[in-house]
Amino acid sequence: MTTTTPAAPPTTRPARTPLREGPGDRLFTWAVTGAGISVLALIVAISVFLLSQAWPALAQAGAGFITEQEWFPDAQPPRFGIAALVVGTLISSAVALLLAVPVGVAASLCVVELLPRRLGRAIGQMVDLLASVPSVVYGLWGFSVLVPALVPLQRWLDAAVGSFVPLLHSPSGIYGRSLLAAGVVLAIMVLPTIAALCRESFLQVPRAHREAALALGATRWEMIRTAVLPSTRPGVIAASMLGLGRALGETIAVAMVLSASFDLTWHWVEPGGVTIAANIAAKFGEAGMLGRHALVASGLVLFTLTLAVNAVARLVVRRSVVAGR
Amino acid sequence: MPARRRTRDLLARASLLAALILALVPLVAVLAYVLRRGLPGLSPDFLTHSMKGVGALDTNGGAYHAILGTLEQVGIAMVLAVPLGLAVAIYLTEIGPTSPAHRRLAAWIRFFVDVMTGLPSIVAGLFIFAFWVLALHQGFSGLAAGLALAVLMLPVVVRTCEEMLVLVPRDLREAAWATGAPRWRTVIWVVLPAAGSGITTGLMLAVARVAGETAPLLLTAFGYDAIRTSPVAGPQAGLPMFVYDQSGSAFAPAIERAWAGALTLIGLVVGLTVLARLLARRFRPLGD
Amino acid sequence: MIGHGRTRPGSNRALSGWASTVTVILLMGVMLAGCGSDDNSGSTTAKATNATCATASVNGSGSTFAQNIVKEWIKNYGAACSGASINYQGTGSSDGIAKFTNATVEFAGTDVALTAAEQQAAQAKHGPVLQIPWTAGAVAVIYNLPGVPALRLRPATLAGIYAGGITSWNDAAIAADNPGVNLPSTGIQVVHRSDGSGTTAVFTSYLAAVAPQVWKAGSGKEISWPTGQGAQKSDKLTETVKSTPGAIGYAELSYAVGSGLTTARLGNAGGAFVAPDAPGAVSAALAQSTIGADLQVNVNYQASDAAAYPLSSVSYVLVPVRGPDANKAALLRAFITYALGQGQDSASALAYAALPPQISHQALTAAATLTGP
Repeated sequence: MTTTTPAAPPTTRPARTPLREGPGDRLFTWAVTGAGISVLALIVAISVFLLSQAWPALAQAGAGFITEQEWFPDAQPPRFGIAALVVGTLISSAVALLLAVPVGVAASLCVVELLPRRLGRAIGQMVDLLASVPSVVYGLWGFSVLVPALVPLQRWLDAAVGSFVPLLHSPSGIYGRSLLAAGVVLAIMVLPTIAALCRESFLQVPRAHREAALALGATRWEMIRTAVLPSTRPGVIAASMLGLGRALGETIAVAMVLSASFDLTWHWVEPGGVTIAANIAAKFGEAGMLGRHALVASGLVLFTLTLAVNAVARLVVRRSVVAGR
Repeated sequence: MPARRRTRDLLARASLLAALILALVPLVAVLAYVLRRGLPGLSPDFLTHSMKGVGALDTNGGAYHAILGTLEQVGIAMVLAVPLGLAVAIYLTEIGPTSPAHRRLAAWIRFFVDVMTGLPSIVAGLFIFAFWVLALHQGFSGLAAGLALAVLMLPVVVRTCEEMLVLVPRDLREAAWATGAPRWRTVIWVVLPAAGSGITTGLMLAVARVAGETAPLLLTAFGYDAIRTSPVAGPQAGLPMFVYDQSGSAFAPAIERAWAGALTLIGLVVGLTVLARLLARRFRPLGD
Repeated sequence: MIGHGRTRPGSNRALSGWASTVTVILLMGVMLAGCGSDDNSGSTTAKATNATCATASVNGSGSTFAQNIVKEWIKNYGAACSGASINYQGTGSSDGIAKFTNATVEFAGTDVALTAAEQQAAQAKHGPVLQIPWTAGAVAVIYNLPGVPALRLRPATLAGIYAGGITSWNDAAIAADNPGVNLPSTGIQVVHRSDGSGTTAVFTSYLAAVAPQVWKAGSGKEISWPTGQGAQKSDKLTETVKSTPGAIGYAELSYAVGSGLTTARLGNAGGAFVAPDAPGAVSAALAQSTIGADLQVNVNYQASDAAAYPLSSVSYVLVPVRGPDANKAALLRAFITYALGQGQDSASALAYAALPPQISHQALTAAATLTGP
């Protein structure tokens, strides 16, 4: 990534740097450099602390930390692992992305390309505003409104395709507070993020590209397909990855919506499954000494996971920016 | 134009519009439902009373102490994260490009700031819990919550400020330098003012984001039933935590308080966001 | 949208913008600071007390089970003693123990007595500590079965349901417990807690004690459940039972009362079926329980009294014998003494049970020994 800083544009103007560099400037440079380094120090501190607090649990569990599907860190002997947590986290986030990305992309296309500019901007701002609705509110609403409303849909899904798509089958015949429901709540929560970033990306397509396509006789949809979507693909991918990052780490809403039983389940419509973040919120109060270390260890996994997802997202964007220059 | 292309265009347009409506429906539904459940409990008494001495079956009591706590915690987070974040952004845009070494450091900082925007809020809470509460023995407090929120806010502040500073035309800096102004004066008196409106908006949005966080508060502010004006005196309440706590009760009065609290929280966050837009308009640079 | 720069030097918009943002937030705080009130005495139901007053401030956390009655006590005690400030947060028993052990709170509520290791850790920090039983209550078995208002369950039947052996409501075992009742063929949806919980510990200890042949899944705050779906905390569990036809679950009696769900009558060793909210049912079960010198109550799940509701439990307050300072110790002593005396009158309205005399007498004696450093 060291190559990604754009080269300074060639210029022949005289004042490329300040004429005077005094002691004030040296102090200023030191101060803001210190601030910059403090960010690196902060992330190192978070990593070091998480690792040191997770270590007793990791040492205790060994390789079992990856494979064990149960969570009894305070039992004798303790047995706990992140297998079920990671699967549940990935499933609920995948559901969220499957729903939120198409809708978010299409909705922001509609805002940018179809609606009158003023109306589009107003709706865009409204969506931004909804991005800041607190997750505890989504949790309350999801639990009392959305979950009951989704039960018939889940039953219907199971009846329609459950017999040959095991993911959409509920062996127990119970529906409701499932990974699918958690995924839908997450989708609603990350939708504004994805839509806002996609909108920004679409707005950056030069007007000339659009006008050229339209001048060649393209319909609006053809213009979108040929002039807007290809050049903004990295932006859309990055938006999705950032949405994924949010979905992976969401805590309170999932803890309130999901029927978090600690088991590794592949059945999206049956209550059960659990995510890393929701597990921390649910177990923290009753965790013993090793239990807390184990929860921090799972937090470390979550931290690494979101770090990786965000890093990939940023690299995609950076590469596209560099390529675009 | 062949009918097939036109039909396809119409179909595509219709589905884009349908997607927009589909995106807005749940968002509107959330707001409408919270409004419906929250309004009956939202009274002047609710906004001006704490939960001190309120039993499980009592219908009085309110969120005043939690609103106050949230404002203080968010204020602390701002006081910590905004100057630091602004300084980092200034480093990235003003010092970063000046030498290869700075360029390399800036690239790393930018990368990790980006990555930190995805930091799960519960991890920030865990970090402050162990660092501040366990290792430094500082105990639970509004200040601890402010620290956790500041960790969450910092990357957002840096990102926003950097984006806005980058947009300030280079000519403006060069013009200032040409008059003999040193770099630091140029930044403070020329670059920052030019980016003012964008920065203000970004900051308010960052504030709105962290004001609604529940997970870190559970591990740092701890919760308190009475009014605690000082954020360093011990455990303090926070509005998101108030909602979470009250919603977990067995009895109807608490559930009503939870919804009223949720409505207040949305009002606070939305109020801040709208204020941000208004301020942005107010502080728009003259040339715009 | 950002400026093509005609900016006036000297009018520093970024800083003034930021400053105004901070000002607005601070102003909101200041405006608020004047107009709020801690005084909720207007319409509350605080009972007059003749408690001994002490002036200090103490924090406690722990048992969610005890939360409602502890807050009621704080309300009533605070109404009589304005100099006392007591804070209690129901964050879970283990959390309370952990916070007590690293001295971030002065007292903790716990539903399960401390293990030897936990006791050692707490004593390393505080010196000798006491676990004083201060309230009792029933764990109710709640179910969602319209048309069956008073389900009766023998221990083996309840254990069979939770072990997964009994899967439909018209099973022969349930029918045998409920002669003459028309039971539907609905499948049984078992619901249990997904978070670690003292309620789960009580429920599973009960099953292990009364139906050892059927219940083999062990006991504890978290166990490996043979069947059923999980729900976080008591409120989500009751909501799940309420919204799932055929569901059965367990929760503190207050949640059963608050949600309006029907509770099962459990068979006791005296041969009768008793509802959890029957007057005196919990006290009858505890009256046949033993309390040790360490103040631990061994709940007798097989009390022979026909009036006893067997699925009962006791909740403790964990305090240092020598308080952090004289004032705090005095407040803790006075507050716990009040709770064990007059405070027990608040129990039934909040769906708790008063401690039977033989337990509260010993608890009061212990509370009197609390002292300063």
